[in-house]
Amino acid sequence: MKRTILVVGILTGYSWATAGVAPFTAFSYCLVAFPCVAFVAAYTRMGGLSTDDVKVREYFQRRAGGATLSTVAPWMALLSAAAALEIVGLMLGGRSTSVPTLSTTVDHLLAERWERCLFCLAWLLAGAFPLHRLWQQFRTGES
Amino acid sequence: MLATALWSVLLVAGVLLEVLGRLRPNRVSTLNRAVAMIERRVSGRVVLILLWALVGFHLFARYTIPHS
Repeated sequence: MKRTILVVGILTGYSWATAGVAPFTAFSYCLVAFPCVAFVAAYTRMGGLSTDDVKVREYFQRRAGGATLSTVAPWMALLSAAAALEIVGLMLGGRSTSVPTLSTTVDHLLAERWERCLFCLAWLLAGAFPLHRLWQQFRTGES
Repeated sequence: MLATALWSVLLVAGVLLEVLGRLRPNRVSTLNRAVAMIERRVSGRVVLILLWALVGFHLFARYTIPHS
């Protein structure tokens, strides 16, 4: 519990720092690249990208449960609709106010630093969560 | 304006699918299960990682603040 609070605190601080840096600068790219590299390295080290580790393969099979193509189809339809809307937005110039792309729509939610901080924290947690799950799985498996 | 509403409709549809997935797991997968299905293959995991990184760069290193 203490460790979780500490990790969330560190990620919040990191998000606040990232949210305060001007976009399109080398520093902003570095601040985003660092967690990407760190998470991918940790994920790889835990065997997340392993092709021949049976334990890892079984873990991912188990997580998918009874999901089949037909039960996932509604999500695929939703994703296709989003992709189609994004393509239409891009074809109309990308910055159209009548048909904005997803990123133009989201930009309105990133105007303030605290908003960017919240989104960045959500993004970091989305990256950290699979790591935590994988780590927990193998910690439980070892004991 | 219309597209902004459409994005909202897609968001609401996603929430409804998630609720449906929890109520009737045999008919519709939850988002977690759908993502887990992609994760079964290494290539799927790589695609998800790339997508996550792309979102990060796009939103936090390449954002533009609207002027209106």
